[in-house]
Amino acid sequence: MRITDIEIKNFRAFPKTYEINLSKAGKNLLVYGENGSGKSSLYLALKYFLESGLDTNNGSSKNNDFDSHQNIFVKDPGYIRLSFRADPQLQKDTYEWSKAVAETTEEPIIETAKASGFLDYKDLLGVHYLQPEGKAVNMFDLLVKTLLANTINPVTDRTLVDDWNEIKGPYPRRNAKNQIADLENRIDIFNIELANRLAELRPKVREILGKFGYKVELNLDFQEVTYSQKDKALENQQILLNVEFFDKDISERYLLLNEAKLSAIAISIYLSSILLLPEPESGLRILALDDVLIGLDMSNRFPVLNILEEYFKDHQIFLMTYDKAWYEIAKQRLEQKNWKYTEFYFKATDEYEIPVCKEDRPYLEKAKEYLDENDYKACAIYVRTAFEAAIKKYCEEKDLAVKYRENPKDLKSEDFWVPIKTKKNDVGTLFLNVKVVDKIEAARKFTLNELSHVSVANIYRKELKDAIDAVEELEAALT
Amino acid sequence: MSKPLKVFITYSHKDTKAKDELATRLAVLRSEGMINIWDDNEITPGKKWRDAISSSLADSDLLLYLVSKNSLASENCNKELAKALTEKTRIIPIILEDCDWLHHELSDFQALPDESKPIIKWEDKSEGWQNVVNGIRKVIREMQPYSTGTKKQSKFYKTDSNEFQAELAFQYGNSLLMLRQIDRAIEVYSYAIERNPYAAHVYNNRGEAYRIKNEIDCAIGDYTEAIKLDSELVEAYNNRGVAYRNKGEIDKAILDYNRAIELNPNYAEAFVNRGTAYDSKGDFDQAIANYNKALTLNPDEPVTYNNRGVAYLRKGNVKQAIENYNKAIRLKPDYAGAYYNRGEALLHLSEWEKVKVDLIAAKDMGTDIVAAFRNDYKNVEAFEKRHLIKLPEDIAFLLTQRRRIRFPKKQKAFNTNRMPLESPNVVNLREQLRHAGIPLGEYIKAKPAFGINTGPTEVFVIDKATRNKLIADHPSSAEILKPFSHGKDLRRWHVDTPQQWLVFTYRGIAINDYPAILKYLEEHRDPLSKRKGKQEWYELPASFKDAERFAQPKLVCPNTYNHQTFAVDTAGYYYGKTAYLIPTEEKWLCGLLNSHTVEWFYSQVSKQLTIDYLRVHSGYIQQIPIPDLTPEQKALIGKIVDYLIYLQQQPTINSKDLAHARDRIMLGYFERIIDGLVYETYLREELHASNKHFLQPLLEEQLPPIEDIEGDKMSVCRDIFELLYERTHLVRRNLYYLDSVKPVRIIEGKL
Repeated sequence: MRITDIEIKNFRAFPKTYEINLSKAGKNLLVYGENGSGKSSLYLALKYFLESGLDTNNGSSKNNDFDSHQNIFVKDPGYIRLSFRADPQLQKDTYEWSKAVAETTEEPIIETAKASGFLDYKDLLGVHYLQPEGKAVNMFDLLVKTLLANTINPVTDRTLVDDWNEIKGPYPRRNAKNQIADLENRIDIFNIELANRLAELRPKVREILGKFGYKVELNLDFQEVTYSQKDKALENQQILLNVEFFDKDISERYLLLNEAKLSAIAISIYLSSILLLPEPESGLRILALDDVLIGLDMSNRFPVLNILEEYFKDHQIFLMTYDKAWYEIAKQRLEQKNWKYTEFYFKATDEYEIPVCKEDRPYLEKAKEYLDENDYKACAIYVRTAFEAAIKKYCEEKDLAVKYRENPKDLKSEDFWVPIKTKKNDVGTLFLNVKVVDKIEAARKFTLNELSHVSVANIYRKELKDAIDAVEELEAALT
Repeated sequence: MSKPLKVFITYSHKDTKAKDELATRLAVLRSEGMINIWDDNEITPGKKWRDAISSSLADSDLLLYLVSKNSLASENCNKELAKALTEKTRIIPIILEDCDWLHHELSDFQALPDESKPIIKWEDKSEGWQNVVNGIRKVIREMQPYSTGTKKQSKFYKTDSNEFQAELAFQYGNSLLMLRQIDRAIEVYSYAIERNPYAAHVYNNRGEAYRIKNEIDCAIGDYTEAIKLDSELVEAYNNRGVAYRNKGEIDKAILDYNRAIELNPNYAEAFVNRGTAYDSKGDFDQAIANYNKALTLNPDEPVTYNNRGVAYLRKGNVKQAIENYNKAIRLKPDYAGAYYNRGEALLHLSEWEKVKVDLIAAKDMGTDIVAAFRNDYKNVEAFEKRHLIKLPEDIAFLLTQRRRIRFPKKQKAFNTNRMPLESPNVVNLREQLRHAGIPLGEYIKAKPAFGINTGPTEVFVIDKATRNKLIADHPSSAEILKPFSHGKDLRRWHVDTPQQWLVFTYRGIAINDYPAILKYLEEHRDPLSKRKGKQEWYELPASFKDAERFAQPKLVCPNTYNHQTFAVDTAGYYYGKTAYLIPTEEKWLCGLLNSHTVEWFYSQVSKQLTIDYLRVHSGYIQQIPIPDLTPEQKALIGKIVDYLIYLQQQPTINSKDLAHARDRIMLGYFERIIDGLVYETYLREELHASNKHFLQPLLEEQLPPIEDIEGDKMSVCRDIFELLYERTHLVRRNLYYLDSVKPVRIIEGKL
């Protein structure tokens, strides 16, 4: 089973109705979105939709209540509808979650919810606060309250964080023997489950971390949490992270645990915990990652894509990012037949700000569309992207000599443009029409300037129009 | 919901099509359990046609007559109608076409469709038929005494179950009682009793209704019946006490409160009521002692403070009385009675201004202070004479101004059903489970019962050293020293070898054959003699027959517990009265009884009053339905129970060391597997509909019986666990996603 359509109305950042079609095959989705463009609202729509059916008795989770997510500008009641197909050939089934309808307690939805993983950048913020204690880092809070919070105890059938919440207080009076015994029993259950969970994860985490190129043995050292009646507190809330490097002997190991590595470790632990879940009857498992790669440098982002392709083939993946460059790179990297790409922009109207999402069509076409909508900022991005794509493609096809840069990432549009501009015909004249070159050069001063997005206010309609014309002519000349 | 009405359709065979149309359209009413339909199609071949019609007509509640020229001309139709007229069956003519029916006997009855517009004349016939069905539905609603409107029916709905109907009526009765529609409530409870005469709580609540109506004897009759059905229904004792007190039979009331308190020593209300009873007897010290106890149990009850104030005042202790009233008023600022009482107490201190404030407050809140005062002192003169206090004129005036309402001493009584009305989901599921098997009480051959009452002294229960000494003193002692356990020491699955022994001096024992024992008991003769009952001072309240009861294989559990805690005892241990014994050899029953499903069902039917723990009520335990399993299935559950018994005895399982966390998970996982298997036996259809199987994949694994495992049993158990715990194993998958099945979600408290 795969998700094939998403329809969101008046939910969080989405006023009105938004539809995303993932084709009948239910493709993965890669989303670029500026901050506040609705990218995270899409992530939360999926997450809360699934969670809403899980424990309808648990009053503490206000996420069950659609109303608390209703778009605040719009009175009209909202909804989220997800459509699923067991097979591209078959009819789709649509489930709704709204104030009036809660179909999320149906079997396939609950199973999918229990089989899925949702991680966002906020979950990983905890990594920033990890402080080495002596030679180790205490991961207790990050693991219990975030990364492993939703793993389910096979014995109690409750989540780790539920078991934790039961023991974190308030604590019984000194003479309440039964209550103290009960508390100690619960602590015992929590300890056993956590110790067992960490042991189960260990081989998988090592394997996944290996994909980052870290040849390390990870030790998550957990000594049981104990209750002190005297202090009325839980002591020993510690899971100490020790890293043994296979090929090095470094005394001050923790110094090597910089934020990027800790992020990689956290992501590896999370992904491992998802991989250890049994497969649901429906076959649908979702993995949604909202900006979690931000903490990683570029060299550590590719391994994540490799991991997704290798280990999460059977998952339907939703990858969200606000990093446009990374989005473009990931787009090249991820196979088109399995992925759909979409971009969210922010657009101010008279009434409210709305996210705009665009499916992937030729850049220039999109640029024109945005021009029609008077969204100059988005238009400028697309013209520039169209320009860069056209010249890069041409250089690669014709194998033109491009200026060497140590890191291909540092290549500038200049590096591609110059060889094309100066390319000569067999007869020795310039390959490109002078008029086209002039137009492009003019546009490059403004719109096609790589810094253009910094000074949004300076983009004018006329210039954009000219740039679009120029790139269009260039494209025609280059084919 | 009442039983379905019998509906008979009279028609001419030439109108069969119309009859079928009507029957189809009544299908909804039928599926709702509102009606059963009869027509001559129902008659089984061979049975005499005419007789059959006649007899089914005789007990019909409603006759639908399809009026057409054909039926009016049919002799049979007219005979059926005549029969219905003599039986006073309700009749509805349904006009199919224009004909001469207005000159027929049928014209006396309200016909359908509305305004007698024949079906054939409706532009849209469907609309005409719907009009007929609506009309019939209306009539049926009028005829059904207790139907609470049409409820959405689920597939579990068993409308023919008496228990279910009784339960619905009981709940309906409770809401009527809450709304103080007493007569109606009594009627509805009576209906529930008619349907299910074994439900103690219904009698108790009907008793409540009678008591409120002040029909005290009826009330006492009902409480007594409730107690007969469930000798541990504490509320019934308490309520009967209140009724006796209302009747003025204070001593009987006190006996009932005693019994209630014995059963539940934390029953604050019973202490308050017993205090009030002692107060009426003039025994104020006892009254105060009872109130004190009640206040340690429930320190925020204003009534208790008020009543204690009354007792102190009657003792002449004015200051303490006032303190108590202050407390009562602080807890309940609109407590009119307490204001009056404080005012009355202040009279003794001559604090006139304060008296006035309190009396006026009480009066404003609706207390008839004049009647109350007259009740206590006859009149102002009598008060002045008795207490040698002259009342100021304005206060005397206040206390003699007539008004009606009387201030009664407050008493509390409680309904057994304090929980809000349950959702139909829960009721349906409970009834579905109830019908999923035969009651445990019928399934097992022998009768379950509690252990022996060894109290109140603990002389009969001895430790190892004492036992050894008694045997050393005389070898005959060994014959009657039995390994013994209290209920509180029991765990799931396995009974650990007891560390205590019972001196089993059954009734009629030749005590002189056991000189060492006699000598030992002699040391405690005094407290032993003070015990109640028929036994000799050295005897237990147990017969020699109890020895057989303990000797046989059985399941045991403590009388109160948080979670189902049954264990298998094949070693013939003895137990105290805090343990409950179910004689059976079938170990798989232990798995069933410890399952989540049974725990849920039991907590539903036992009407537990606290949420913290469950309590064994033999009557309810015996209601637990035992599904019909194949020997193969029983053997499988039994096999896993055996694993658990074995594991429960292993040191690593009992260690708290986290190095053994995996073994502890293994124990819990095997318990979960039993949960899964039991879900599948009770909710087969639901689980299979979502492709959740446990029996089949487990049978395929051909797990070895524990006794057949050679060598290191523990490592084989670990292997089996790892196999079944593997994330791709069907058992693991199905357990992980089990709670996506609706009834399972209800049982696990997630819906």
